[in-house]
Amino acid sequence: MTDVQLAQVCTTIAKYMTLYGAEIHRVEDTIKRICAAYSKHNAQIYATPANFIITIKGDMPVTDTVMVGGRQTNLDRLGRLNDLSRWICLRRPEHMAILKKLNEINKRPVYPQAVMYAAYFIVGGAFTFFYGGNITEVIFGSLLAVVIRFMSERLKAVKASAFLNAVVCSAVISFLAVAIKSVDFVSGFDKMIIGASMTLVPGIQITNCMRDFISGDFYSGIYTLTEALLTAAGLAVGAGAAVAASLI
Amino acid sequence: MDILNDIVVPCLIIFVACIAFGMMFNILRRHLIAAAIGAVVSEFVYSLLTGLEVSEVKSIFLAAAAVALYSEILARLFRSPVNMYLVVSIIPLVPGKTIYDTMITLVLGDSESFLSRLLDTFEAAGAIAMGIFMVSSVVRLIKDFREANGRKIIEAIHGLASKHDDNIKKI
Repeated sequence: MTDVQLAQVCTTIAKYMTLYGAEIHRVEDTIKRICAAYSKHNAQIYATPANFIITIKGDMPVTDTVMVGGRQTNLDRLGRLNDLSRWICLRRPEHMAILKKLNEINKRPVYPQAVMYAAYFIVGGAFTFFYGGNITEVIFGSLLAVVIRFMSERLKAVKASAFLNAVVCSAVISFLAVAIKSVDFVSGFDKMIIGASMTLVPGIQITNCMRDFISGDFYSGIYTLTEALLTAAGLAVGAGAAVAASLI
Repeated sequence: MDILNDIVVPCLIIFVACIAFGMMFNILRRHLIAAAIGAVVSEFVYSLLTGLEVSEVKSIFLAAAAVALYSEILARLFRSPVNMYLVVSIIPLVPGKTIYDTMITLVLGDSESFLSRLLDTFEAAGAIAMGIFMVSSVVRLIKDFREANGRKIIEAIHGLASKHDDNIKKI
């Protein structure tokens, strides 16, 4: 495998790992191991949640860069990429074989839309019940979570930021919850709002930021922490607007 | 302490909720079940400790440490990223109600209870972070030491080999 091909393989793997929700230390470590497997021990690697740069210093230095836009959390594919990197280090396959495997991973099945809506429905309802809602509140909480899924799919299509997504989704469901309360279907709107909002909790950002801090990638840690805090603040802002409106 | 209402029922709800939550992150089959069981572990430790009148922050800290340990073990067992289990497992500990109360008191203009709620939120978040920090740091330390030792052995073998070569040259 030539240096150019190795750089191409490394950037592709790094891009998808970051996209599917890996912490930065895992990305850097994986690429370092792959480079070492092809005896490029002096490869320089710089990874952040937004981009990835690799320089392989052979007779002719080769640099490759890739931008990572957004997040499509998919932990199943991340696990497969992990297995793939282990396989590469063990077998040292040819360039085309790796790209073929990568292609297979990126075509792995995801849950169908209907199942995804059902998952949101269950999460919304279960957490409404968990926070002490009665049966009517549980049903409305589930429906609000489905509304969140619908809204965030539309917002993702126009590439809205995580903050905007959180603000808009939580504002819409909170206004709906306040409306449901005002026509006296339920006794209070808070449990429905909390339950449905649990679907917007930035779980992957919270775990990744802590794991980045542990491994000493403070730049990536701060990047991800900011993302998590902004999403949480967005949730509060959206719900707060609706609750404030209900008080008038 | 009412075992059925304080521990068993919340754990069952969390199991169902976190199966669905894992599906949102596209986790498949046995990993999904394992992640949901991790969430049950965290909820069980948390509700057991609060039931025994341990303080809120301590309970969250110990529960977070327990799930971090659980996730690290499972990740080694199934040879997959720790994130796969940790992301779903900490969900029951996320202080959703406290954050909501913080926001409500802010909207109502009650600054004193707002500040105390805000502190509660940061305490809970800090407890989760520190619990995971502690366990994951120790695990990483062990891993790093083992790798360093492995490298030392390899270097020692190389060193012996090169010495052998030198001896041959001298002869």
